[in-house]
Amino acid sequence: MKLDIENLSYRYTATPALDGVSLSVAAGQLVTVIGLNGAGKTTLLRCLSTLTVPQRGTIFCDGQPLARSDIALRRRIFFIPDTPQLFPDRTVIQNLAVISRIYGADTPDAPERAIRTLRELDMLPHAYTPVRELSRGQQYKTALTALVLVDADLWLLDEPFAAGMDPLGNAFLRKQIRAATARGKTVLYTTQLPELAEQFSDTLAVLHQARLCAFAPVADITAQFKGAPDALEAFFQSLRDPPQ
Amino acid sequence: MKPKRRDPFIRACRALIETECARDPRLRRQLKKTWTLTKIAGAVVLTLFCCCVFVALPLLALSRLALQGHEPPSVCLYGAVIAALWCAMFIFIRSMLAPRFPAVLFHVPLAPADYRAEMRCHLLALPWAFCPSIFLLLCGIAFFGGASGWATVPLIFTLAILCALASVAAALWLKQSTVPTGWYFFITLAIFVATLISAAVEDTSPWLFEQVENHAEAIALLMPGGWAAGVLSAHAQTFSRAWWCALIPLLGLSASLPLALRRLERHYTFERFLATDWGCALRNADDDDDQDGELIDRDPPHRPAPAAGEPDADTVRRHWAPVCETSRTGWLERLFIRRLSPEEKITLEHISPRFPRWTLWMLRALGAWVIAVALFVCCRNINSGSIAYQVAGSAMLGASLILLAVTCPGITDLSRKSTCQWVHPFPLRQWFHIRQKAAYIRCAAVAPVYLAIGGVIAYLSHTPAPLLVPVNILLMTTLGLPHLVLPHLCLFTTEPIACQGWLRAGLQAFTLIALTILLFASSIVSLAWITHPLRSLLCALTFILLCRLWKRYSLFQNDRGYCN
Repeated sequence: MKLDIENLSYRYTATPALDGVSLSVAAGQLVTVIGLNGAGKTTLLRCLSTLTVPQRGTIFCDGQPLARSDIALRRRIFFIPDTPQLFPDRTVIQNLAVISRIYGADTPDAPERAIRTLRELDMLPHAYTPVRELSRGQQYKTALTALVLVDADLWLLDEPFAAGMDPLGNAFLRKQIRAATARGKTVLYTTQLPELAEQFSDTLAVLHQARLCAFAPVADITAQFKGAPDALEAFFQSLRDPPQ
Repeated sequence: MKPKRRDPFIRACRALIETECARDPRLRRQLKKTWTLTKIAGAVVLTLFCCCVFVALPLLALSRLALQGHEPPSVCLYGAVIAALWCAMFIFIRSMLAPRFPAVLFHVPLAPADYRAEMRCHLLALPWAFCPSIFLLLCGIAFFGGASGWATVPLIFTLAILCALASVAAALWLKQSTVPTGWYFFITLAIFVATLISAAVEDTSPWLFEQVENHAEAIALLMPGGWAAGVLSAHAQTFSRAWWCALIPLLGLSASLPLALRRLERHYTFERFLATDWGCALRNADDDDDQDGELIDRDPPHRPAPAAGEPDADTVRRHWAPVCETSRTGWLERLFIRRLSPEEKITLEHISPRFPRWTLWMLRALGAWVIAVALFVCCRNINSGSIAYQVAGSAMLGASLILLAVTCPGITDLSRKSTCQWVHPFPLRQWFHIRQKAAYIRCAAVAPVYLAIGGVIAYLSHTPAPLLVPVNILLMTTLGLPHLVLPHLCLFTTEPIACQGWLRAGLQAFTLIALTILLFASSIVSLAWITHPLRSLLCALTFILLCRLWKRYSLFQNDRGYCN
């Protein structure tokens, strides 16, 4: 899914969360959204998932303006917040059934894919456990299974590598993201880990104080700090304490 | 949002999991354990309920314990109505506000009409909430149908529904804390059983029932506000007089519903969504994640910046830790603080989310009790036994509600484990002592007042109900959540302190077993006069039918096919 964001602005009562953010993401691109706390990363993802309606600006998905009322378009977008939103009283399987139905992904091979994913994530023993009884990491794994099952065109993941998943779960997520981008899916995820952003992204979107400071491959962003031991960290340092 | 029972996805998943289990016996064992534990946890309340009602009945029918006294249909139905009230209140709050259902719905791509339908379904928690209370109503009618007459059924239903709606609206407005469903069942049953006990006392029934001309009037007069209706409709026909009782819940509903809706509109995103256009709805869907339903005030009052070198005014006034500001607390709270050591005060400051308001609640309760007694005395002088009876009924209701009101705010404020408690290294033992002191002071202050006034009402009304109902509630509270009432009864909690030593565990177990026996004994006594096996069977069938209906038409039912 091709994504075009034009002049996106959102302000919490007193604090701006997004201020004129514009960017364009090609289909099959892996974008890492990074920034200091309060930079507007989550708000950007929430706008993209239509949970938050921006006060200004437009989002185009494949040239189509994104609106909450456009259900067909929204079914092509899957957002996992830092705390996965699942039906807490339902079991893992029931959650997957409902979500796959809502997203129109209840194809004949869906159960098999679901079970396979659950097995890979070591979640099969919890298949009949209500989600409320699972740990945060296990809940995230359930949401991840749903995401793999739905296989949406736009993946929005808020802090997926800090969601309490075990190393195997994180590795599985990385593998799935790479496979998805290879299939032409667009993936946006937020992180606070510079090393991860450097190693695992096609393009880096750096938000600082509600503005988009940079949107380019990591190498381009860190080019001016080549000598520094940690170039991305030095970049953030320069954003926080700009040279006089 | 429940998947269809024969959802092909789930069926296929089950088949695949079965195949996996055939290959891996360990997985089968794990799944079986999970399934069993979930089922047991889900069924435990139902089992207790069934044991209390249906196992006791045939036993009693065979025994010679049955009392052959006067049948007290109105008291039984009164119990059912009160049960309905609590039922609706607790389950509604539990179903609607506690889960993240609206927030989850926002994250999935549902069409506006489907969303509205889902939310309407979610709002209609009442049918589900009503099921047990309707069962209790039917139970009462089936047991005492012959005496009370079927003509009273619509009356009772109307009143029950009005009462429940009013209570739901009021509860929503007041934003009561959430209570687990199982806990609600305990309370419902406790209230029901307690009312039955009060009716079972043979000596009280003739006095009560000779004062009224027929059962319809008795039922009506026992309703909340029945006494007011009695006064208003003094010249009306006896039976139509009963319908006047609907006036009070109706007034309550009309008064509280707009307030409740306004609260919803202000605080809950789905209401904002319903009130606005779909396209520009929801600035922030995660407001619903806030379990308390409070919106964060993002516009704090402007305060002048402190001068350089001077501490902030808030720091000076200690706004960051207002819990031990005794100037704004009542005498009970001050007494409590005085009993704390300096270290405990510091712990309390950091751990307690807000300071309890026991004195305020106690004064309110005291005021309500005094008014109830005064009314009772006044009405007694009118030379109308029925009016006095109404007041006794109202006082009974008031006493039970007030006891909960007095107890709960104090309990929740200091017993709920805040996140801080686990994050920061506060000694658990210290926290335990703080809670213990709080509980003792609260109990010591409330118990004599309650017993004195409850005793007066009981004496004047010739019924032990004002004492029995709250005592039973307290008993149930102790059984269900012992650590809330008596901090040292921490058997069911996960606190490490609860597991210290076999002696402590043994004592706790003994106390709980004793309480359980007491509870069951009281239930058996109260059910003693229900002897007819056919009636018992009818009740059992009704209950099973209602359970089926409950499951079939409960929340999250999703057969509208909007996902196709």
